[in-house]
Amino acid sequence: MFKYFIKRTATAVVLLFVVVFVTFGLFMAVPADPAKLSCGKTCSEETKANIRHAMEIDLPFTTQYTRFVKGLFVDRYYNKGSQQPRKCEAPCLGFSFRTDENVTDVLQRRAPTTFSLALGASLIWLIGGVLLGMVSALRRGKTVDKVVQSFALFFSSLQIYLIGWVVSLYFVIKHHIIPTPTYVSPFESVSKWAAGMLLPWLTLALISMAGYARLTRAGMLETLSEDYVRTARSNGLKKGRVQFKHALRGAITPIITIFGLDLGALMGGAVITESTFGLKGIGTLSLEAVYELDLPLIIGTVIFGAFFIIMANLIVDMLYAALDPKVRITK
Amino acid sequence: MKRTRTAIVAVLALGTASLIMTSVAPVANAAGGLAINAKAVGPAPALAGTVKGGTVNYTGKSDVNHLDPSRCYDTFCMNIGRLLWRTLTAIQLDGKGKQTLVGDIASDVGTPSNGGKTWTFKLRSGIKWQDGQPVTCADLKYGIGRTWDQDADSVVLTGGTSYPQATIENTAGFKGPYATPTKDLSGVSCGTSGSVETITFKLLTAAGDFNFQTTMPNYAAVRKDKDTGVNYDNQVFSYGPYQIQSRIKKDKTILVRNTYWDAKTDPIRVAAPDKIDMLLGQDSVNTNNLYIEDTGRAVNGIANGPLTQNVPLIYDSEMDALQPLFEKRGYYGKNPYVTWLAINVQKVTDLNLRKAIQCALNVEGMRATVGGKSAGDFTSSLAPEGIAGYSKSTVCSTSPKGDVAKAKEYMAKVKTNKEVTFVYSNATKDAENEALSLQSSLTKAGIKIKIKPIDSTEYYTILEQQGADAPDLMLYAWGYDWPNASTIYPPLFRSDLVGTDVVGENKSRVTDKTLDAMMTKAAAETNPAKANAAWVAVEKYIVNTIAAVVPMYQDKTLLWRGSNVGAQYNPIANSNDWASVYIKNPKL
Repeated sequence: MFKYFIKRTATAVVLLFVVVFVTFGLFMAVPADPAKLSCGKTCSEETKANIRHAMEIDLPFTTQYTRFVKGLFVDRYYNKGSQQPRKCEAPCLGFSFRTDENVTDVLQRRAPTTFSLALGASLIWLIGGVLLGMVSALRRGKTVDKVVQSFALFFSSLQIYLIGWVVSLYFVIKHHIIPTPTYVSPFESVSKWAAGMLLPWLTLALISMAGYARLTRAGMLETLSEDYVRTARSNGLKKGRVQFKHALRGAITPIITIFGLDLGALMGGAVITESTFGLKGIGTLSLEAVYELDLPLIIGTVIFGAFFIIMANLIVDMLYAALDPKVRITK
Repeated sequence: MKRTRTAIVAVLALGTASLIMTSVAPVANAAGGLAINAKAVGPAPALAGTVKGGTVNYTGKSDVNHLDPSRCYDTFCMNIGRLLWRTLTAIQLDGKGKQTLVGDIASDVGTPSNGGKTWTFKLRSGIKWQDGQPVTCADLKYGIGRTWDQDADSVVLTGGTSYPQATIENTAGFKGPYATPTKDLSGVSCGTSGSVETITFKLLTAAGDFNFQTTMPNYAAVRKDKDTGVNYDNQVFSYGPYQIQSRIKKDKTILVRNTYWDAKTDPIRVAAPDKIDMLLGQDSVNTNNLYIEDTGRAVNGIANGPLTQNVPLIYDSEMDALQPLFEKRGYYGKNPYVTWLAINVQKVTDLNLRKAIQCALNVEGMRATVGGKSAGDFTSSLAPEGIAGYSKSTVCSTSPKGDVAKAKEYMAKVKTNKEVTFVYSNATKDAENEALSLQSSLTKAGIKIKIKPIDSTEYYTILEQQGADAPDLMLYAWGYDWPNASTIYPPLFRSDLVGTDVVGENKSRVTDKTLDAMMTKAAAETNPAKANAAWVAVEKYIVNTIAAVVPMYQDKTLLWRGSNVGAQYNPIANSNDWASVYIKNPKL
């Protein structure tokens, strides 16, 4: 198991560097010029060249990449020759082309919003989705099942940007039932934190919950038809115990796997949800970075997102390996 | 300054969220161009009903690019930034649409000598930094000098205009205070006239409207001991009516009063609210809805320029329905941007073909595809109404629908009817409809026209590239940096912009020495009336003589403000004016 863990971790680290390399490559392929964006309309070619030099995008691709990777481990200096040198402490992701802020600082500032959104929404959709799925499975073919199925179909076909605007308009702007979505640190005020995140949580959870309800239902129905469940019932085990201890347990494994992956992806930034509700998290940051051709920020957000997705995969793999020894042997 | 086609859409998109204030155009003086008042003093003219106090909100998607005056080159930062810093001269608004050039840090509007190659300004006394120290000529010179950092090998202060470098003498190889701290900016010197401080500029060439150029943020003071280089953006040391209380870029900015600011020294800023509260990074549609409902932060809020790129365009029918709402709060009127069709004269070489295009173009049809009358008012000039260089000339037809018969007359004289290509960005369906409309109108006159969509990420690169793939026809829009033709025609038609690979803003690829000479002469003219006549001649030469463009319409802006806010439109900022905004009931 330890050997497997080391092997998978090493693969994850290599994957992260590949992601950075590919992102660098993609950025270089974009025909637009970040220096031009930082320069006014009267900007001369010479000034643009100076800006490119300051941004270090006039260097060969490999030099830029190696400098960046080096900066992850040792301090890096910008504008060394001028009276205004800038130190970027390791792990250095560089300075934003547009705001001049240290990318690591920006990520640290934005991450709590994304974490709050991801954790709160995922808890709601996990609990809600599993409960609905269970009810639906246990009442198969009944009205409750049909209602839950319709609910799942309806919400899974909606998009955040549509439902988000609608609920904002009616619950926040028109009727003031829910406070304007905003992030307040839970260390500052738990109630304000929860109130500010309520609408994004509910909106995101409603859409995602639908899928989980359907998955749980399918898993439960499959497990309930297994021989061992029937045997357990025939041996006199109570219905509730069979349903929760055996059937749900059997159905929950793939749910947890998908939950891990979804949560990992969400931790990397919920672009649409954050944009719709004006939350300043990693998702909106990555959008701004792409829009403004802000390479250091693009790289920073990509690494941030990739880290959580890769970590989620790693954890899921570990869990699988722990639960199923065949996985260890096969891999 | 350039207005992207996307931005045009964005401005129009404000429609659902916008209201009409008095539709204003700059009021030209007798000589043409803007009024000038060499003796303006504070306090600044306030809007009727102005009361002091309260907090004015801004809720929007975008943040200012920079608050550092040396780096500021967009209308948003110019509008907000001047609450923190002041420029040598500035444009005063009187609340009735009149713009006047006045001294800001200067107490006059400058005195030219040496045929317009030397300018001297007297400095106003009593202007203080936020720590109570007086603003001196040395502070102003230091602030101006920071612009030269762009010339340093390793730029610290990216952004900002480069007008000073192109205008002011620099014989000592000065490259800003960071790269060359021991060198002096030779073209700027401080002196005294009696008890008054003066600042004198030696220019590379004569500039008749240099005192307009000094309205740009580059001509603001920065105190050397407070200069934190790249971090100054968040730590601007103020000598305006407000100072920064807190700022997180793209998130939140709060400005509070600078207690050392004295209204009697300031003919520009009313500064009625006690506080400016900016909440940034907000969703555009939700913000729009806030303004439509006039609720929450929007009640005490003003929009700053385009709120959104996501709200659909407003078309004529919708504008009519929204009109009553618009009249209560907001602005719906012309802005300083003009949209035109640029004709690449290096590829469309036949003058008769260019004239035929001018005549055949159905501007009304094209405008209808991008919003109709809310998109803009038809014009025949590249300069917006009211500034030097604007003329009510006729391009070909007095009808915006074009004159097909006349176009056919020109086509009969065309030697080779080669196919011309119009390029457009594939970013929106409206752009495609606009292209189809253009194709339809030109085809009616027998012009062979191909329309070509360009990926939006490459669009502006393609517009300025040379070679076989250079476009023949393209739409473009432009607004002045300061209200004079010197920031319209030269930046767009100077022959030195056209290189072998790129053409910069000279989309028509005009390399005409006669035109260059006309523009140089007009720019050097210090007499406003003569300067105006010279710029009108330039305009007519471009439009009528060489037929390099087809002026189409002067764009319109739609802006929000909350019901508890009084504001006026600022044409230069193309936005609500932050300097004169007030809260009607500060207790709300």
